[in-house]
Amino acid sequence: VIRDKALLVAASLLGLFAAGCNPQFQALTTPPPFTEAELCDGAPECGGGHTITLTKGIALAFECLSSEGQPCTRAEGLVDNPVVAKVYDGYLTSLSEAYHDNSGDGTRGAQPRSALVILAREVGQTKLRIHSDAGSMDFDVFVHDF
Amino acid sequence: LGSASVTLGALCGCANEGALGQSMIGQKSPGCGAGDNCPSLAFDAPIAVGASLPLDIDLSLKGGGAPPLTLVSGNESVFRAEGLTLTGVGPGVASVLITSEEDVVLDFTAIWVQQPTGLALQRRAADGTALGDVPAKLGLSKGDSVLVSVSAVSSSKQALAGTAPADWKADTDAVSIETDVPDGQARLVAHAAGKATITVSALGLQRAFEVEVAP
Repeated sequence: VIRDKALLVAASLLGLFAAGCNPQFQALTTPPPFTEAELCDGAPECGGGHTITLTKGIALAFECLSSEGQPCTRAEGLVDNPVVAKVYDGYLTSLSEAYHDNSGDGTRGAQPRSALVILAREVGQTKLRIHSDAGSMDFDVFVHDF
Repeated sequence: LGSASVTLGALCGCANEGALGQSMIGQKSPGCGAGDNCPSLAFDAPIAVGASLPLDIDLSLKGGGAPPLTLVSGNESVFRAEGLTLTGVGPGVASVLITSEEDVVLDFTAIWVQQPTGLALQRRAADGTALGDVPAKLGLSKGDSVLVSVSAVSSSKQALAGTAPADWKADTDAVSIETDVPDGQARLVAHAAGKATITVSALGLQRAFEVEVAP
């Protein structure tokens, strides 16, 4: 029983650690009228899942941030079914804010922001897998017709 | 306030900002050739199915410079992208991505395409400025000439963007038609006293008007 409890605690801690290290994602653009381009990054307000919902033909730009709110580095996206959606690297001309964490390590200067752009090509469902130095995350991508 | 904003927008002739705020996207002025420095016009109407629209893209990347650009259509059943020109294919909306080398997206915007249901005819100045609609009966004096443009309109009478090849015909010799002018326009020249019916065909639609030439 003690061993089971220890395993449970270890698993919980591992889960918390993993959750704490997950990158965060936020949409940078809004969809045109009468279309959808929404990203849900696990917040209960949008259903709690990691989902991207798009209208066919519409693009969505979103930003990748570390759990500390810093831009992800070496972010890369891969779509399981490229017929349904394609992911592009996005270029943002603005920098992140400088970061000071009170740890005595000084201020981390402003960094280039990290963005990806997903384009809905065909009605269907696929998975977008994002890897970065800040961690990885999979999104379920749903593409609806206009 | 809404109508004032629309009017100011029309007077300004400004291009629209891309979704990422890193470019201004407008349409080239009529008659503006590649490499010409012409003011960009606002891109504030759907493209007509079958019509083509050359875009004028002004990148606003900090540090300046403009890498080679490629436009990508989000949905080729809505519009095609060739060079910096978009051609309406079918009704709908899709994003056009402004990409650079290695598929890096610099900005994008939404493009609407609509089926045209009619043609509008306008008199134009030599610099392309619209001078007003062509009346059902246009009076000219012998020796006069007038520049006329044709554009598509939607079922709600909204002027649609883009130009398409147009076929101009006159049923008598009272008026001759010169088509060596840009963007589907025509120059009507009054040759002799009399009447002529001018018929223009474009995008599968037709429109006719009468010209009366005074001696």
